[in-house]
Amino acid sequence: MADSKVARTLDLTSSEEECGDTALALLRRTMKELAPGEVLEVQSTVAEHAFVVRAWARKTGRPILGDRTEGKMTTILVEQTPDG
Amino acid sequence: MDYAHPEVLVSTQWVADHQDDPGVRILEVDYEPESAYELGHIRGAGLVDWKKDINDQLRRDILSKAQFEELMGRMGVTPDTTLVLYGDMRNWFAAFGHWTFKIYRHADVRLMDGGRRKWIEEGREMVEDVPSFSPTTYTAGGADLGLRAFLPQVLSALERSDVAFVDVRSPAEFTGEITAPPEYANEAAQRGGHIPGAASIPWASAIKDDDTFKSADELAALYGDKGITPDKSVIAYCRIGERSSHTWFVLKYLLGYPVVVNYDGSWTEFGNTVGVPIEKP
Repeated sequence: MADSKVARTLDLTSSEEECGDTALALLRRTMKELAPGEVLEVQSTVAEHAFVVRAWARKTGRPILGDRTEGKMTTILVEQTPDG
Repeated sequence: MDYAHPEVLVSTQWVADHQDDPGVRILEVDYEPESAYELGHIRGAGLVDWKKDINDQLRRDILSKAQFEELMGRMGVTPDTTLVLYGDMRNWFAAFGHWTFKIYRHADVRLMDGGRRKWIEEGREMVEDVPSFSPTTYTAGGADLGLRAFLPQVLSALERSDVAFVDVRSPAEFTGEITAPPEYANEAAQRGGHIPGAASIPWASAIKDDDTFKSADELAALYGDKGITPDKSVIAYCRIGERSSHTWFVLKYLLGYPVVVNYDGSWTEFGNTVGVPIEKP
C-alpha cells in the first residue's frame, strides 16, 4: 500500500469511548484540513470504524487508495477530493 | 448467577434469526444517523433518530405520549410487537430508547447485546435499503414516572441513606476536571464535580471488549463493591442521561434491582443549578 502521499494519520480506535464526537465527525473534521489530492491514513482496531470510513468515502466520492488489516488494526488511505 | 431478566437481552445471532419475524421490529436508535444508519444498517431495521424522534423539539424533555404513539405507529408497531433496539455510540442511545419506551409501557422491549459495533465486528450483512412499514394506530399506556428522576427528587434524595447515586461519567467528569468535551459546548456546566455521595462507576465498566455485557456475577461485584446494592433505591446519572440509561438497564434488568431510576437531567442540569451542593475532590 503506497503511502508516499499520506499527509495526516488519524487513529479512531479510542473515539467514542466517552460521550464526544463520533468517528465520522472526527474523520470529516480531519479531512477538511487536507488539500485536494492529499491522503488521510485512517487507522482503527474497531471494525465499525472501518465500515464507516469505507461507506463514507464511497458515498462522498473520495477514492480509497489502500485498505489493509493486520491483526486487529485496519488502515485505510482516503484521498481528498477538490470539493472536499 | 444468571441475569435477573435475561429476556430483555438478545444476541446478534438471535436478531439474525428473527430478521423476518413479523412479530419482531428491529429499530436502530442513533445519535447521528448520517454516520451510522445512513451508511448501513441491519436489513429490515427502522431508524429512530434520537434527537428528532425521542426528544421533544421545543422543551428539554423526552418525547410525549402522543409523540411516542406517533413514532410507534410510523414504525408499524403494535402493543404486542417485540421491539429490538440497537444503535450507534456503543448502544447508549438504544439504551435511552429502551428507557423511554418502558416509560410509555411498551411490554416487550429488548436490547441487542453489543449493539451495532458487534454486529459489524462479526461481518454480518449491512444494507442501505430503508424498509417501509404499514402504519398502525398505537395507543400507549400512561407514563411510568417511577423510572425517571427529576431534580426535586434528586435533591430530596440527598438526605436519604436508602438512596444511592451512581455517576457513570468518565473519571475526569466525576472529579470536575472537565464538564463536557469542547465539541459539546451545549452540554457544558457552570460547575464541575459530582452529586455528593455518588459512586463513580463509568458506564463502560459494565461491558467486555466486544461491547457485550459482563456476567451477572461480575456486574454484581462491580456495583456492590461500591455500595450500589439492591436494598437501596438507585439513581443513575451522567451528562444528558444516555450513558446512564445503559447503566440503568444493567441495574434494573440484568441485576434486577427493585428501584432504579434514570436522572436524565444529569450533570447538564445539576451542574448548572444555583445553590445545589456539589462534591469535588
